[in-house]
Amino acid sequence: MFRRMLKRQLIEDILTYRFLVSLVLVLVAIVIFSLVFTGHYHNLQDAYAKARTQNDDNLKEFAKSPSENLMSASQSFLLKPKPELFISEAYEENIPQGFFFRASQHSLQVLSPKEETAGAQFHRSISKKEKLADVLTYSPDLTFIVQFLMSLFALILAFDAVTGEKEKGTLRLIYSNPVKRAYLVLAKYISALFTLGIVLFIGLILSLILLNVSSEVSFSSSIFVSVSLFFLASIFYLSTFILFGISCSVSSHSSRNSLVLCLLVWVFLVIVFPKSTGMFLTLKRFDVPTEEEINQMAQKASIETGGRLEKRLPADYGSNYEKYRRSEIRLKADAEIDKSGQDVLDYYLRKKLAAIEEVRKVNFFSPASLFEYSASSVAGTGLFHFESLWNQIRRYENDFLSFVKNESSVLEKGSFFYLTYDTISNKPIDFNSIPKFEDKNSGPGERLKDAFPYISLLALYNLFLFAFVFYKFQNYDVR
Amino acid sequence: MEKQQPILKAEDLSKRYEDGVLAVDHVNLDIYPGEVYCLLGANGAGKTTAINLFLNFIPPTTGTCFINGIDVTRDPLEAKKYVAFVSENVMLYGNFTARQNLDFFAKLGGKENLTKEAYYQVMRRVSLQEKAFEQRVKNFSKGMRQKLGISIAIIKNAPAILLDEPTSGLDPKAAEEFLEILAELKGEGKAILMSTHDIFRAKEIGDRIGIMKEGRLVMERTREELQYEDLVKIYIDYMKSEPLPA
Repeated sequence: MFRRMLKRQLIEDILTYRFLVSLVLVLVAIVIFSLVFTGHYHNLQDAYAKARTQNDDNLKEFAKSPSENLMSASQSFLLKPKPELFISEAYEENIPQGFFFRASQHSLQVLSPKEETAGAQFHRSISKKEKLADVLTYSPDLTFIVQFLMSLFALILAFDAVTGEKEKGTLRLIYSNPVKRAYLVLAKYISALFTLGIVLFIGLILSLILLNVSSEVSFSSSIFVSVSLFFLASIFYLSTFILFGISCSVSSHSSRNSLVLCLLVWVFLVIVFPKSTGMFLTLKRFDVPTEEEINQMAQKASIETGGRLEKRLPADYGSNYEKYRRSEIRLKADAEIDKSGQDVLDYYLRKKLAAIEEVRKVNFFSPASLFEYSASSVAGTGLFHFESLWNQIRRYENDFLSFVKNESSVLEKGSFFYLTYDTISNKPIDFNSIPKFEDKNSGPGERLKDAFPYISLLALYNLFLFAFVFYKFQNYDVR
Repeated sequence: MEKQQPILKAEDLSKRYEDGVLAVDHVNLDIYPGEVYCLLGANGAGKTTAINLFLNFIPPTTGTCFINGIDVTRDPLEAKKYVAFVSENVMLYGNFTARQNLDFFAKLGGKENLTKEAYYQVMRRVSLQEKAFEQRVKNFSKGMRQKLGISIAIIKNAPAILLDEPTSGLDPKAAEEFLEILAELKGEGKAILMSTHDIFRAKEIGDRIGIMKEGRLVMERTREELQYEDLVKIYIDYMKSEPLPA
C-alpha cells in the first residue's frame, strides 16, 4: 500500500509544473555559473601559475649563488585552484589565501586578500593584478544553487503536503481506508526528496559535462568522488527543508498559511541568521587584530626579544661582531628573535582560525550554514583547504631548510636554524634537487572526516523534524 | 431464525468538541446488512460528526462505534477494511484519469490485481460516460465526480457504506441515478448510512430514517411507519420545536 502511495505521489510530483520549473531554473543557473566559473578559474590558475613560475625563477637564482641571492629563496604559496571550487568556492574574506615564505628569516606570513602585507606586495609584483582580492573575487558555485535555490524548491514541493490533500478533499478519502497515518507523510517526503534528487543529479551531470567541455578546466577522477560526496551532503540538506515544508503544512490550517510560514523559515534560516552572525560576530569581537597590526606586533615582539637577549650576550658582542659572526651564540639569538616574531604571527593565525570556528558553532543553528561548511569540506576548499595548505607548508619549510643546510652550509651540519648570508656558501646548488612545494589534494576520507560533524548535525536536524512531523500528523485532524 | 448482527453500530456515542459544543449526544444506532439508514437534520445537527466518528477521524468523548463488530477506536485499520465512504463533494487527483484514481483508491482499500476491464465495468455500472474513463478528473463535473466516488465505494466491496450528503448539489437526474445505484448496493446486502438534507429522497431510499437535532437522535421511523405519517411535517415540527433541554 505504501509503495502505491509513493508511486502516485512520485508521478504527481514529476507531472507538476513545480518539478519542471525547478529543473529548468537549476539547469539555467548551472549553465550561467559554469560560464562565469571557467573565466574565474582561468584567472586563479593564471595567478597560481605565475606564482609558481616566479618561485621557480627565484629558486634558480638562489641555486646559482645561495649566499649572494639569499632573498630569492622567498616564495609565495597560493591555495592551488582546483575544479572542486565549482562545487564550493567557500570564499571568505577572513580566510587567508596563501603564505609568503621568507627563508632568510624562517618566516611564514599569510597572504590576505584584503590587506596590504609584505606578502601581498610580493604577490602583486607577480600577479600583475592590482590586489590579490581582484583575482580571488567570489564566483557562484553549486553550493549556492543548492543552498538558496533548491532549498526554496524543497519548501515549494512540500508546503502543501498535508494541507493540499485536505483542501482537495482527498485526505478524508485516503483515511477512510485502512492506511497508516505515517504512510502519507512518508510518501510525500520520499517523493519530494527523490524529485529534488533527480533535479540535482541532472544538474551535477550537466555541470561536469560543461566543465569538461571547457578547455580551462581539466579534472581527474577524484572530482567524481567530490561530486558524489557533495550530492550526499545536498540530500541531507534538502531533506531538512522538505521536512520543514511538511512541518509547516501539518502546523497550518491552509496551504496559504503554510507557504507564508515556509518562506519566513527560509528567509530566516538561509539568509537572515547566517548573514547576521557574520555581521555581529566580526573577528574584532574575538580580539583578532588586522594583518597590519599583527605584523607590527610581530615586529615589536622581535625587537623586545632582541633587547632582552642583549643582556645575556657577551659584553664584547656589539663591539666585536666579527668574532661572533658564525658563532652558535649569535645564531641562536637571531633564531630566537625571529621565532618570537613568528610566534606572534602563528598565535594570531591560530586565533583567527579559532574565531572562524566559533562563528561556525553559532551558525550550527542554521542548516544552510551547516551545508555550506560540509560542502566546502567535501570539496576540500575554503577553511579546510587553507588548514591543509598551512600544514603542508610547515613540512616543506623544514624540508627546504634541511636541504639547503646539507647542500650549502659553511658551518657544521645542523648548527643553524635559518638561512643567513654568513651561514650558507656561494656553492651552486642543483636546481632540480631543491624541494619544490606542491599543494596536494586531501584524500576523500580526510574530507569526509572533516565534513562528518556538519553532516551529522544535519542528520540530527532531520531526525528532530521527522519526529515532529510524525507526532503532529498522528494527531492531525484529517477532516 | 438467528438475528443478524448490525454492520454499523453506535453505542452511547457522544462527541464534545474542545470549544464545548456537544455535537453528538448519546446516540445509539444499529444498521443491518441490506438496510439504508438516512440521517436527517439541519446544518450542525451532528450528522457529519457521527460519520466522522465511524471513520475514526475524531475520537468519541464517550461511547463506541463498531464496524462489522470491530471497535473503530481500538482497531481503526481493521475496522476500515469493512467500510467505504462517499463525501458530499468527492475531490480526487485532478492530474490523474478516472481509472487511475479508481485504481489508486481500490488499492488503498485492499483490492489488488484488478484488470482495466474491472475498473471500466464499475464505471459503466455508475453510468459514467465511456469517454471519461481515461480522461483527467480535473475537468469533471460534480455529478461525474460523485459517480466516480461511488465507483470507489463499489470497487472496495465493503459491507458498510457511509455517505455524507452525497446528492447535495447534484441535478435531479444525477441525484436519481445516484439513488438507483444505492438501491442496487442495498440489494447486494450493504449496510448504508447516509446523511442528507433531502427529505424526499430519504423517504424514497431509506429503510429507516432518523432525525438529529443538537446532536441527539430525536426520532426514528421505519419505512412502514412512514406510510401512515407525513415525514415532512414531522421533520419541520422537530426543527421548529424549542431547543432541547441540556
